[in-house]
Amino acid sequence: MSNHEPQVERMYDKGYRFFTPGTWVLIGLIMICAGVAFGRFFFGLSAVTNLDNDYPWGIWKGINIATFIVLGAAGFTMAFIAHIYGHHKYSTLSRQGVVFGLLCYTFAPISLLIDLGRYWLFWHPIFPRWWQGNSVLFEVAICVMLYLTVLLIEFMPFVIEKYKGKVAWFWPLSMFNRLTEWFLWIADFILLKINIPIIRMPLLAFFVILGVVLSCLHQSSLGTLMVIAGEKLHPLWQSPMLPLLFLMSAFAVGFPVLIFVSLINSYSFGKKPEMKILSQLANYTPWLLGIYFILKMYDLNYRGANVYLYEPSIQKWAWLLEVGLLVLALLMFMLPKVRKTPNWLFMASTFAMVSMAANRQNVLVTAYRPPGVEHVYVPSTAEFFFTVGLIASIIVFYRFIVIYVPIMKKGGDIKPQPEAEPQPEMAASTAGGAE
Amino acid sequence: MDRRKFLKNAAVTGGAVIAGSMIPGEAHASGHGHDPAEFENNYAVLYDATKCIGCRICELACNMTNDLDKPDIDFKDLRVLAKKRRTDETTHTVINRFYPYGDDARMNHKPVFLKQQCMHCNEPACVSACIVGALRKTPEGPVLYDESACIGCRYCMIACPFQIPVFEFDEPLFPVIQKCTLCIHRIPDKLPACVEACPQEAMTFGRRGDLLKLGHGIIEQNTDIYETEIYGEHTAGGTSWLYLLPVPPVKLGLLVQSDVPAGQLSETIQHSVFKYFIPPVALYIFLFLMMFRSSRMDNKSNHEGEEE
Repeated sequence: MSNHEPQVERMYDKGYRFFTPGTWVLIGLIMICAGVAFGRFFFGLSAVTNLDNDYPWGIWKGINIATFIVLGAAGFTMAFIAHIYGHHKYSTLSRQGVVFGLLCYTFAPISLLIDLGRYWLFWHPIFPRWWQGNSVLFEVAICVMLYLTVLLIEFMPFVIEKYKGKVAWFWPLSMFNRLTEWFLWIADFILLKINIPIIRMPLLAFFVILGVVLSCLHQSSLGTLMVIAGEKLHPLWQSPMLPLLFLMSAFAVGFPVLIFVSLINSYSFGKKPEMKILSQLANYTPWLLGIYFILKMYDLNYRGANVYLYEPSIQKWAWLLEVGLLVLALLMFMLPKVRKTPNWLFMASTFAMVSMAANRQNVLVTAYRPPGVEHVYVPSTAEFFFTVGLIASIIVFYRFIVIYVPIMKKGGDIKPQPEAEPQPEMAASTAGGAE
Repeated sequence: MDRRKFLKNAAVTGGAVIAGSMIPGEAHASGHGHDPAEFENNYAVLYDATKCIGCRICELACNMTNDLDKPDIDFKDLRVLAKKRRTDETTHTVINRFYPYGDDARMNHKPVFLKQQCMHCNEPACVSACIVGALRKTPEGPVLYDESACIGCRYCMIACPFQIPVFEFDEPLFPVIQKCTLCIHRIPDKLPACVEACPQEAMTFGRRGDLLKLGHGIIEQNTDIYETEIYGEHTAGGTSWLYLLPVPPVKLGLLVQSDVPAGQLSETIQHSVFKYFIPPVALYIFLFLMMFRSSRMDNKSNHEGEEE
């Protein structure tokens, strides 16, 4: 793997700085989000959410967790194609996938922590004393935790590459310079320097494979999560096939997410969209989306649930929206013109992402309608702004990483870059942050 | 490498995982497939809906014995029966009124009252769902909750087919799940509070096996009054609360009809995917071989650069 390291650069060297007016707006949104968390911690869940005994799960589960995790599929799908399947031309994109996945998988548990009633006991599932092998949620929790660790490990080489031997924190963190240096050196030695004999692969390779396996497991288990709700889940979604559908949709949405992220990167850092490579990636997408769509339709018809499309219900419209976007994305990805034009490709990827997000929200929240309950769950303003704040956090942290860690492809600049002042190396840089 | 090859390989990759979920799980591996006789000695209650007059005294008794919050509307106020209610922080049992024979008061249509509380399923979905094992089925019958383990994820509420568990959403730091314990703190010295308080003696407390016999005896002697089946004998895999009903259960809002425990399907899927860890390990080996092959090919072609 290491002999395929792509030509990459960090945006800091191009003269880009972290703080811009846009960043401040996003930080404002994060402050609102923190305010909601404050309200929850001091006044309880009912103070900020519209949850009640009939609807115990809301958008903090449907969007903040299920959707973040399906969009985080970008990490493992890219790792698979670039490193396991061996298409090394996707290595740069894979870096962006790892970073985006890392952030999705970081903020999903953060949201969970605030959503948990007894959050100070969140560590219980880690210890065998509380293991409960029949619980689907337990499996999801363990796999997500392990995969988050794997993502951190996969992220380490990018930091090592830039900062090993050059760590220079700003004051007062500068006292940790030596410690960080040691940490990076050890991580480098263990993950990259040791070459396993015979197979001649660094240890990191085994973590990459582990990441894909863990992803397949918890992406499908997220689907199994709602199977236990039985008839409480609307028949348009409730199906023993849910795990397969969730897994397939995670496969299908990985590349669109990457295309989306890469195009935004190119736009915001004044680079030419990497259309050659993105188009190649987009070529796989109609197949994956197509398989998912066929499976979904087959499942619906096999269970005879299509009759519910003729009955009036909120769920019906949510289903039509979800599947409508899916069909739209599928059709767009099938057109060669769309796959070759940045703007069209961006739109098609967005539709695919929104469709999957809608699917997760639908399965976990919209489809849940307990019998005999007349009122409907609608997220409160605070719940909504909390979710917005988490999305803002992902964007802000992504920007931070793009600026300080080399994950963008070198070259391809189309507009004059901001003057890079000759600054002493690393004056304000950060590294790892693990210590 | 062309696209077709990629798709083929991708399909196999997915297949390895999916194959797991297609293997029919053994009943015992998933913790199910219990013999009904196992539950014969469980504590249970036989509830006769024809005797219940909807006085709400059981609700009051439940509130008092469990030391619960006082409700906004007093338990004596029967006007609350106009609306369908569920268990909440003030009482772990509720009485609901139904008009299964039509709701026209002038026709002297009789209401039927139904008491609802935790059914104490033989194979409870909440126990199957709980991430930390905070809920457990005791050998004596009651399904009990251990707040020291609970992390407050509320998955039990999603899982319960009867919509029973209650969560304290207004409690910022120490919220707990609340539900009926079959008054485990009172038995065997005293009867469960609701059973003892009932002025109509609509409930009989005892062992599940005995109560089933008793219930079937009552039904046989009064076939014109009762439905032929005891609700809870097989429902959701069998429950400790057994209902003698004068009308089909659906007419009393008892929508759970399946005899299969609610947790069975997801447990089967889950245990198939993880059967002896074979599917995950097989997937790992498969991916490793794929990676090994691609790295070998790279070395051979001596980094000929970008493929395609």
